[in-house]
Amino acid sequence: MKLTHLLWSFVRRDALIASSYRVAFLAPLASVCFAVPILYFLAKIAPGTDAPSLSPYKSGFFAFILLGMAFQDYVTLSMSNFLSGVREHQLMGTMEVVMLSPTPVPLILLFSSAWGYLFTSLRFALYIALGMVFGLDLSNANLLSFALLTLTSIVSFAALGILGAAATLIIKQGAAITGLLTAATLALGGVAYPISVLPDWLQKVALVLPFTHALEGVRKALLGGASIRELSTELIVLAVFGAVLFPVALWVFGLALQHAKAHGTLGQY
Amino acid sequence: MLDAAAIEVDDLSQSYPVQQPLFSSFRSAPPATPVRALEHVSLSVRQGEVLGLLGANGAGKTTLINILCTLLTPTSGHARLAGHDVVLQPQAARRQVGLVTSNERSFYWRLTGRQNLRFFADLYHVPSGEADRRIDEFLDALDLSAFADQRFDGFSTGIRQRFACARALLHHPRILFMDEPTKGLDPNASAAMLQLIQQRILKVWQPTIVVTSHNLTDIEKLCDRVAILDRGRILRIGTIGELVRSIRSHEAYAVQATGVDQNTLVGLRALLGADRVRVRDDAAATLELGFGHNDRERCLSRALAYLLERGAVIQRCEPMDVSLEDVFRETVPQRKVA
Repeated sequence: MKLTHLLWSFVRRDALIASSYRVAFLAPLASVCFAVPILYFLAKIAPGTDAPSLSPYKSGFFAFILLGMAFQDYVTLSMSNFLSGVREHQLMGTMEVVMLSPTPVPLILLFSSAWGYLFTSLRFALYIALGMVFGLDLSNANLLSFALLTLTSIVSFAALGILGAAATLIIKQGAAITGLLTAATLALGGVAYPISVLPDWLQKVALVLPFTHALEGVRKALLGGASIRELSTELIVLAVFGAVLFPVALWVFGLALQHAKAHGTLGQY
Repeated sequence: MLDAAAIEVDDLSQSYPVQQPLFSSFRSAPPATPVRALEHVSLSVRQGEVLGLLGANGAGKTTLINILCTLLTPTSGHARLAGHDVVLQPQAARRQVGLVTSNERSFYWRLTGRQNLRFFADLYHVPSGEADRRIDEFLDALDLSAFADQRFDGFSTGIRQRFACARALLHHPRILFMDEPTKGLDPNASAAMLQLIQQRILKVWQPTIVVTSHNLTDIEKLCDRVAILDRGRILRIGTIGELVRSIRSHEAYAVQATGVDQNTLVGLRALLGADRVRVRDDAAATLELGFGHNDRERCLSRALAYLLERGAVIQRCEPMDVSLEDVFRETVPQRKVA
């Protein structure tokens, strides 16, 4: 069985299920159509749109916050995708027949998240397209840098999400933990304001989050046209986060799975 | 093909810790005793055999199946499927297994029957070039073709169970676990499911089957051997004939006769043995006569001749069969519901 074929099978399953709920499928896309104008007009009235803290991004506040809001979707998704994947299987009753298959559990976990990332990428593209209608200037964008940075970021974010899924297997309500992590990311990661405006000690906390580095890199790549070499700091930080966190997350998930199997709580919710 | 052991279970035990209420730790409550779901279970199932697991709710049937399906890790002991240890070689063990669960929610209800089977075929590593052909084969064999492209949430319980069979067989497993396959089915659907298992699944694909059911008639019809579990232990295991003989060492006949007085009864007891003659129903004058398995015909003739000699009129004489239900009731003590 080719991995690409299996991956396609998961994506097809999840796309078919998602599109069968028509309103729930279209609403997240429609919400972008409202979000972008709101950000545009917010940027118009926000004071200090030419503040020195925005100068590294070579753009105004609208482009800054638009990319922040669009990219934070990846974090929100990562925090919920793996966790809800486990929980939905538990709630739907499909957990045991899926786990009974000879497909290794890490593959099931990762491939089950693929559709979520594809859909989020579609939303991101819609943010950008609508942003361009409202004047977002991406003429200098370096798409290769952006793509590499996004992939590296997703690995780091996914690791945190897998840890949340592991918590779900044990305590059944892992959303509380990942919700907290998402909130911290939004508050400290530089979504709506540059982290340079935060107090010094909070800036140090912000630098511990992979999202801070990812968003910084995304803005530099899309707005400033930064090359891979110019993004080396962000890429190295994210690669280290991913290289350490991802195997640890899979290992912890494996332990949580063993615990659930030993205690007979695999399908419980 | 009943030689090699398809399933070997050796001294398997499973216990679950009991979760204490959060505040009990502040009240220095004694730690709860773990629940023992299985205790020292050993059994062997031959290739191609159908084994029935019987037991009251909570007896440990589903726990045993879940361990064999690698969904539960046993506390101690070993289990092997076609030689693969379920703990040490779970991937290889899972390749041997198909599971028919009674859980109707084990499918994706927003997908069609065919879309569900297609996904599970890929998940269970059915070669991609073969998946569509196999799906069509099982849809046809299990009379599901008409439902293939309808959404799963519109199906009746009987159709869902048929799809569960199709899914379990897609990857050609050597061992099929069926956890209450007729649960929730009406009598007609239940009979159809049994027929399907006997005439299609067993005849065509010939897997080893372990089946649980609370319907003892189903078990009698399907199984080569039956294991009776209670509180995590196997109390009896054997063919239905062996189980019957294990609770009754003799064959019994019900003889309804008039004109049987006390002296005749005394004489009959002297003839057959005191413990082999029981008055079942005074009003209907029915006697229960027991005979050894080897001397049944000779003793029955002598007993009937004796009754006729003493002036009794025999109205009816019929063998009293021991059903699996009798064996079950004799084996598993009834407990009061708390």
